Amino acid sequence: MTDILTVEHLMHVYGVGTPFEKVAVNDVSFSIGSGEFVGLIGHTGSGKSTLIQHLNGLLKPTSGRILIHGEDIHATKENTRAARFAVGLVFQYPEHQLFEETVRADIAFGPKNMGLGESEIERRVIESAEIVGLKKSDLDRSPFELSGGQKRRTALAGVLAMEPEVLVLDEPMAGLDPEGRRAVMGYVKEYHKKHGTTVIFVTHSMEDAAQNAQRLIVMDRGRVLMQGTPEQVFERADELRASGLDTPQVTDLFSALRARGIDVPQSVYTVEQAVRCLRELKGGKTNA
Amino acid sequence: MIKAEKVIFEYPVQENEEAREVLHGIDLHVKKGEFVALLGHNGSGKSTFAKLLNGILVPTGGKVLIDGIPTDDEDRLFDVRKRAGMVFQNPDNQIVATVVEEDVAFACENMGLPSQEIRRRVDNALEAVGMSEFKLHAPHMLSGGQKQRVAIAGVLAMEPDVIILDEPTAMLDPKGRQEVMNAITTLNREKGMTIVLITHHMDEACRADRVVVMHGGSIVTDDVPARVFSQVEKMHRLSLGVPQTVELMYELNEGLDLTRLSVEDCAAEIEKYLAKGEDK
Repeated sequence: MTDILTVEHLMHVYGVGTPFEKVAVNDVSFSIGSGEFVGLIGHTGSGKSTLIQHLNGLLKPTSGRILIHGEDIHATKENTRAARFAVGLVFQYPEHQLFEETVRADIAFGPKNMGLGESEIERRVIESAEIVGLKKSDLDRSPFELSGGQKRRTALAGVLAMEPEVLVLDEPMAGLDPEGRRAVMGYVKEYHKKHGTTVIFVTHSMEDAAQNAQRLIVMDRGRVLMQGTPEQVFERADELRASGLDTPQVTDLFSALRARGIDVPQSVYTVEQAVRCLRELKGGKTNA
Repeated sequence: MIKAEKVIFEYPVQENEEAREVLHGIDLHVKKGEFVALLGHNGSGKSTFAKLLNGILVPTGGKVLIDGIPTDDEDRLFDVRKRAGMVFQNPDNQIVATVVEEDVAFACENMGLPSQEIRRRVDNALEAVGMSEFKLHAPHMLSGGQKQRVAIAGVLAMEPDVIILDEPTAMLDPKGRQEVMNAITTLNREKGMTIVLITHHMDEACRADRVVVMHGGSIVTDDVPARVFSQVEKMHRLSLGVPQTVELMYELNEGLDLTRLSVEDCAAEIEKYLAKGEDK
């Protein structure tokens, strides 16, 4: 797996030289492999939103570099422009950014700006609308007539239609009900599978992160607190709790079992794992 | 405290459109001091129902009574609003002033209370949600959880009999959620405030005395949390989750007591289950 995106010693300071000077991102380094599905976690104020705005050049680092395919995105103007298209950013509550008269026009906005031909734009609009479960008849409606969930999906389709190499989503499921959350995550996963797109999604829900990501990066007060597979990260459940993150309830349950002197691993974070683990434990004991 | 009797609600429609009934005869009584959680997926009618509870909407059929006052009596709407305070999802849409304590005082000022009384109420309300030390801060500098607690304080200052919260933690991070849930629980347990909490979070619903589940505009379940969540198959059918503790015990399928919701109770239950094997 080659690295598609590298963050090198990134620093971002807001309000330099003012009394409100604040280090939002502090010496952060990591690499993302091509086709990876990464969860970026941290509580409010941990610097994760500031961090992702650097990934397509919306914010300039105070120091440090962002590399896409090994090239500094701020080295030349062309690189910066290329980064905007290579990295698709879906903001929090993206439905607030819908503005066109029809769903079709809104989804087509990005591809149009990329200078694509009419037929290619149409193909992408149809395809991305389909991925997010919008009906053909929805395409000619005004985005403002849609339900909240449909608006969210329209906004997501608009970014998917740009077919970015890296898709960055900031709290894509915030404010949705459990069914809506599953649906949106499902669309993103399907897109990931189909296009091999690299996905970075920001969340403060450890449960969502654990269930979906192959690798987790945990931010705390502007720094990377830990990174690794979900197992490696949940192994350190106590540290996660200390940094203000909520661990999945099964992880808490397994901590409680350990406190009772029962020998179970700390790295359990899904119900399936927990069931398997308890069955094994029980089976082992019965046999012995 | 709250009496909803055969409540029917249809959103007003334009010409040529067919009327869409979103609530089909809801009966619900909430007693003074109760903490009721209202669950249901999007479109189940729960937010509509919440808006009927303080007269933002009035029923197209049936009645909603707050402390005996019908919400559709326009002359008494003010009395209804004074008794039933509402907190919404987005804290930023509810804050009007530039200083925390002025924001909390807003409703009291509208009620035309004397300034000493306002002072007393604002101080008490901020104290109750643990925000006293921020009373002179600017609301926009606060975290989401803090803002939402200010919004709750603003409602509290009216000294209502019941507070209705429509997904107050949906936009908050885990820490903010905890802060807000603790504030709500304390108000209920220590001050006897009647609470109606609309939520998507099962763990929040577990903290209530009673869980009401809505589906397709009707109430389908109404019971204590332990009994509601132990019906795993039913909850899944309603596309709602259950706490992971229950899910785990259900999946183990070893006859564990599914009403043992909390992490500690569930751990005890599992310890018993594991120990049973050793006896064999």
